[in-house]
Amino acid sequence: MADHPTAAIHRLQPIPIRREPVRRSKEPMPPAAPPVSNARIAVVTLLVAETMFFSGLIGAYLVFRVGTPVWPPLNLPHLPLAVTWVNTLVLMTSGVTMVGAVRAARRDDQRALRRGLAITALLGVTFLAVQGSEWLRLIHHGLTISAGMYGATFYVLIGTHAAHVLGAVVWLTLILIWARRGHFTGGRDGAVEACAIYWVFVCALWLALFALVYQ
Amino acid sequence: MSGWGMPSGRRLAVCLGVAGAFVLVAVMLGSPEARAQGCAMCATYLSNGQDPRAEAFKTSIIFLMCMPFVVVASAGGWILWMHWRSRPRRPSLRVLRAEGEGAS
Repeated sequence: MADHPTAAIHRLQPIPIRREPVRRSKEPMPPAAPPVSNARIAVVTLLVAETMFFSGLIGAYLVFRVGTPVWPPLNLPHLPLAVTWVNTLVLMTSGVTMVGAVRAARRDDQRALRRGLAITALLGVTFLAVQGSEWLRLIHHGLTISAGMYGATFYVLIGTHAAHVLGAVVWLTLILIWARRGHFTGGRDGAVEACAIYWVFVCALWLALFALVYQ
Repeated sequence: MSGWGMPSGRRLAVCLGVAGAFVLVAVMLGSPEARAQGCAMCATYLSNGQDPRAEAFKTSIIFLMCMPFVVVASAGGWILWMHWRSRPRRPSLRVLRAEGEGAS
């Protein structure tokens, strides 16, 4: 037996209509989070300026190094390669621990964050201490900043990088103090990320300088 | 979405990258004499014989000439990539089909 002609209409299901929730409040809508935070853009801008600054120094170094037939000069000591390799490993390890600290901050693991920051700062101080001791040995062997272009370019280039590592260690120590006070809970990890970006930059810069100056 | 099927920002980044690569290759493949014409000091050194300082100046000039492009391209590319990654994405056709099959 055939259905009544209107039965098909009765079988139709109503189509659900998705409605936007009605805003009762008269307060303005909160602004959407920007895709790149202001802190990140600030650090990237700083790094662009730093990269150009070091590019100028490297450009000057290239002029003296490529334009000099014998490099290093015969009467001056060679740079300590083995110790610097170990020191490079120390700095790269600090980069890895810093990335681990940022990941800990993202998952709100405060203990791992503090541990990662402390280890990174310790490795940074170790790097600076080894650099300082090597510099003392080189000065003792006659490689001073006034010993010609070899000494001048070496101390200016590597010394500027060491000053940046020192600045990064101070920044990292402040972040560690704030982390101990619980400032980076609940996803507020922008300062940790900014410091980490700078630290990774310092590590990558050292790789370039090490390949250029020590080889 | 227009043109080559990619967002305008991404298309701009691709164009800039291709143009930068072209300039870099043109500079690297040019003869030393041709490159030296852009620098009066290098041209003088080259005409006076094989002075190592000419090579030093050329190396340094090319390095310093390339670095701003590399730095700006890296920073701009990173910001564009972050922007592109954080945009709201439409569900793909495969997901829509799977949802349609689930509903029926």
